[in-house]
Amino acid sequence: MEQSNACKVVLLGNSGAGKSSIAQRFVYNKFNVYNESTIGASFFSKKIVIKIKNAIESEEATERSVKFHVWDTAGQEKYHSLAPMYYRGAKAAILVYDICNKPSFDALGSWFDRLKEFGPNNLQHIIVGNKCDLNDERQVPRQEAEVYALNMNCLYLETSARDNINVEEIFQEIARKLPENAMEPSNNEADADLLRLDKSSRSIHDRICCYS
Amino acid sequence: MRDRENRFFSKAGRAFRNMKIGGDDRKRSNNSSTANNHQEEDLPWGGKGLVVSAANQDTKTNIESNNNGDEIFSSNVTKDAKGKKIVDEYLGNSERDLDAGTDKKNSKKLDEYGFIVNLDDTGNIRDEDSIALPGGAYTPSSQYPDTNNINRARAKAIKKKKKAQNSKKEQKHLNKLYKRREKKWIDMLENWNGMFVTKPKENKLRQRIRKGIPNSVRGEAWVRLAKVDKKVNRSHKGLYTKLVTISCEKNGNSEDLVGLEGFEPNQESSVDISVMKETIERDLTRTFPRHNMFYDDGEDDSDEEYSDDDSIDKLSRNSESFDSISNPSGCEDEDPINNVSSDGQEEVKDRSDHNGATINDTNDVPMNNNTPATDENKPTLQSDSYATNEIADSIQGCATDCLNTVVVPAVLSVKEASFLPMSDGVEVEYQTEIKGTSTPKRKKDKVIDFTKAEGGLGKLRRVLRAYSIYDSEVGYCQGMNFIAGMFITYVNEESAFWLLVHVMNEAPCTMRGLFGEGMTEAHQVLHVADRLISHFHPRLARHFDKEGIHISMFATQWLLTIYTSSFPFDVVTRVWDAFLSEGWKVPYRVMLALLEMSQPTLMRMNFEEILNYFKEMPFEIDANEIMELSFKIPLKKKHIVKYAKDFDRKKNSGAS
Repeated sequence: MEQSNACKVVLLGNSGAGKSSIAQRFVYNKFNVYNESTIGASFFSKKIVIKIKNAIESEEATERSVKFHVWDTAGQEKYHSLAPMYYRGAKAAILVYDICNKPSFDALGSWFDRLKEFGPNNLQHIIVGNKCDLNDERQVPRQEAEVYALNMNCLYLETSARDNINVEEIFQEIARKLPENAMEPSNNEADADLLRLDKSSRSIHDRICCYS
Repeated sequence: MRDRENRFFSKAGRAFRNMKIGGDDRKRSNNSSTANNHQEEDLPWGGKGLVVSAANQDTKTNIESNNNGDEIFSSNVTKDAKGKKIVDEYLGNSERDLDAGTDKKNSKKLDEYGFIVNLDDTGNIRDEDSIALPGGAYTPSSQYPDTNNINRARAKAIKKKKKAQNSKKEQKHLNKLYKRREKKWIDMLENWNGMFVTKPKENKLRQRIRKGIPNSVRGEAWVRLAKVDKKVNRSHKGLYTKLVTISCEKNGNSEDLVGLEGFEPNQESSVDISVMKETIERDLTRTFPRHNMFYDDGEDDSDEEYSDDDSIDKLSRNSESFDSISNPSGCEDEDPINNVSSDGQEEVKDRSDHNGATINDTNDVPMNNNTPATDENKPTLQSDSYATNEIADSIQGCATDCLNTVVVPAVLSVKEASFLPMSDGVEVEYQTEIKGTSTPKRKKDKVIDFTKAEGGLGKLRRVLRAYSIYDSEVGYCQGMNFIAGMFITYVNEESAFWLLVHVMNEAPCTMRGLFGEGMTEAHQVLHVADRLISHFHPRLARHFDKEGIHISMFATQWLLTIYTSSFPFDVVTRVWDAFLSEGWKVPYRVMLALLEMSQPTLMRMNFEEILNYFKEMPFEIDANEIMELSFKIPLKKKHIVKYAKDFDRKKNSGAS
């Protein structure tokens, strides 16, 4: 089976919202002007290290590493019937819309419905408004999206894959909310810390996630 | 600057007119245009390539202002080094300014399939050292992502180049082989109608196709294989033009077409037409973005120029007259002037206008220089019947040339404008923008007449829109863009449309179900593929199972677009040669061959490594090897039928 310690994340959202660009920015830290349309889905992987502050001994910060398996899916509605293969077993779904394209925002609702019906239990959702570098052409006010995210009880971030704004943060946030068993201590961590962290970091999770 | 430029152009025009009068001079101009339309250059894998200077923005603007027959020089100026030299003879210093401007950008290098090989992720044309991979596609960075891989790719490309240089003897042998095959194909295309009535001949054709159709006759062969020529000229004549008109109207509705011969309206789909158009629009620049025809340099305003009605009319008129004198050799290497006998003066002017018009379209300029395969379709635009002998001659005429140079499959850009409707189709859904403003242009801000928009993107838009109206139940589905795009690089627009119709609807290809509502057949195809892997490579199937690799994780791209979206063109074209003649067995075979080839590697890999390997693999394989291997696999039709039935049974039992 798939490596159990890897965190499977799926990027969903309308065609052209920038899912592939987000994946590429996250994994290779670059923006490719000449992306092709994604057919089916494409796979990316990356390991990140996050710092988790210990709540009790507030000075200490522990480093943990999380391996991400990112599935970047095709956006067109027709492909939705293929999508379950990619979000099966996922720990988190990143729902991407284009802030300059209202329909892509409106489509989020149907994604939530679909994930509720077919998606795995305990799936983390995170709403991402991409292309925030094009603020002048914005069609979805930030506030509207924030309110929506609040209602859906999930985190909201505005990103720009082009200008590298908040992309890494999406995954940081996902990692922080992961249950401990999905992480491994980063290389310079002693195994002994693992147990101690287990309890304390969870309280932090609640604080980090401002909308839950 | 403007004054100087104008002076420059009028001077050039005068000089050119002088040249036309003197016989010797005319000859000279012929020679120079023969030589200067492109420059040959060795590409890293030992083949030849085209070098075309990226057109310069400033110069382009000036050309616009000066559209009276002098453009032939301007086009040469922007196009190539040798053209500039001629100008230099008459103009001395004024040329230098232009030169400085033109050289700001490096020159595009195209491979034999028309892909720009020296283009980086940020859209810049790079110098010699950039990565160029053999076999067509420059690896898009989504597939060759991190620097490690790029370095590896570069190392590989260099290795291959060296290898190619070392084995010149081998190269010579291959060239010879290619020539021989090409000759056979030319003969075959000439006698196409009389052939293939008997079984042995059919088998022979299949064998030849399996060896690969020579690139120079590929477009023509595809057209014949799919019997598209008959549709274009007889049974479905004019339908495409109507579809285009309707699809480019604001509220395009297929009702107008009901009753037209060849059009069978199917159930109106629930998909909103405007949504579909939007999806198409978004995918245009995401279809082979590194191919010269679809390359969008971000500052390209070629479409915009076609909002100017005068220029369109002019363009179409000229291209029509250009049609009528079009050189039967099909190779623009041979300047049409050669073929003008009596009233050369008049027609030469047409030719110059033609050039002037095309230069506005940076996408297509280089493609026009070498269009042997597709030029054969020219007669379809003019007359009902195929003048086979003439075509054969033309292929022959250019084939030898092309062997020495390079074959860039493409369509003559100006061509299509002549058969498209000339008015009414104007779509003004976007804001207008005053031409010539210096604000950065976004595609949205233009008034575009989509029926006339030039270049690969314009054609792709029309073909996809026309199909979405023609078959409204399927409409448009991502993946079709790659297939249509590939056709456009080989045949003219109308034929590309009918080729698309053919592969979607007719045996043995019938891809329609893949892209229809819910993509039902896509699930079936994946199921069949999965079972075939278990059948032919059981050990690998078990390994995949153990690692959690599901067929949909790697084969969806391969099978949905029949390899067009993820493989370099040397593989893609070979697969499609066979696919058009043999149908669905081919993509399955190729998949099995790919897995067979990489099985030893895959068996050692884990989940993540396997998936990353599949991303790189397309650029490491040899098209010939894979195709040969694939035809050795004892896959029978019954296997496919059996597993497909399996799937249906499962589905039905699941549903009930």
